[in-house]
Amino acid sequence: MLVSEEVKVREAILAKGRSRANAIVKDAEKRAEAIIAKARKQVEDYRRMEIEKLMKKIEAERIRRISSARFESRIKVLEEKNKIIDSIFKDAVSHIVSNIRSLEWYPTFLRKIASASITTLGLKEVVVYASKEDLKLLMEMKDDVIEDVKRNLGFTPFITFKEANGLNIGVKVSSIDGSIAVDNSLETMLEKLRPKFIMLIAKTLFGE
Amino acid sequence: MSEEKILEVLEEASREAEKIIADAYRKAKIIEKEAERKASEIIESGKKAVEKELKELEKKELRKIEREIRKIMNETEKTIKKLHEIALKKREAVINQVTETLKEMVIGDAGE
Repeated sequence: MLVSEEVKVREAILAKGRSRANAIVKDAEKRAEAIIAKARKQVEDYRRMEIEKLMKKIEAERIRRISSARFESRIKVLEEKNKIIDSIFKDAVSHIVSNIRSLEWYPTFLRKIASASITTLGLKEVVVYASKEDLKLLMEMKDDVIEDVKRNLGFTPFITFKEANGLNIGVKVSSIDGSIAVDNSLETMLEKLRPKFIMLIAKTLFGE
Repeated sequence: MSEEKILEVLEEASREAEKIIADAYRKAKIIEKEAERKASEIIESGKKAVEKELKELEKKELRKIEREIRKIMNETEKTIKKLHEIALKKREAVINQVTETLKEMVIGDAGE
């Protein structure tokens, strides 16, 4: 073999070696790229999963807190409505108590509650208590009251009218010995009718 | 050149080539190790960045919920204000209606 041929062979062997070396490095570089790409994907997957988890948690929290706020809101509105209704009922009671005597139908009203109270008691002898002012009116309508009761009970009751201190409007009717009584003072009547009036006020104000 | 010499030259070239390949393997190992180190770093810093992003996102979403709640509460206040306005407007009519109803309950529609 000539020297030049020896060099050629040597170069060929080395070139093959270099080529193999290049391939090894290139492979390594490809694997390195793949390792990095995998890491990036791992981070991206982690991010997507964690965001999904967080959003689910937040949505549950949102539903819980919004529901609670809506419930609180409904309660607040309801409480406010009740306050308004109560306040108007109180105003109405106060207005009625202050003005009822000036209304043209008041005498009839008084007569009716006196007759109804005596009828409810159902006794032949009763005492009707009223304020001085109402007593005067009742005395004027005594015959009408007796007639009403007679029509209801079928007998003529014996009625004693007495002034009652502390009774403003309306009547209280009791047996002679006071053991049984019917309280139809205006304040008591209005309090008894309170549930009906509350419903009426709610319907008129808020259509409920 | 003698055959012996030729073989010697070839062996030497082969050894050199093997050395080049061995170096390439070492380099490849270094490249892969470096890639693994970088990958760990990417994962670590990526997770940290995700944690930060999640915290920000949570804050942002919670602020949205707060805004929604404030909106509900503002609506509630508006509704309550409206209720009071209605009550003020209808107060007198309602009182008259209660009075009238009391009359109807006790003495009937037409009165006497």
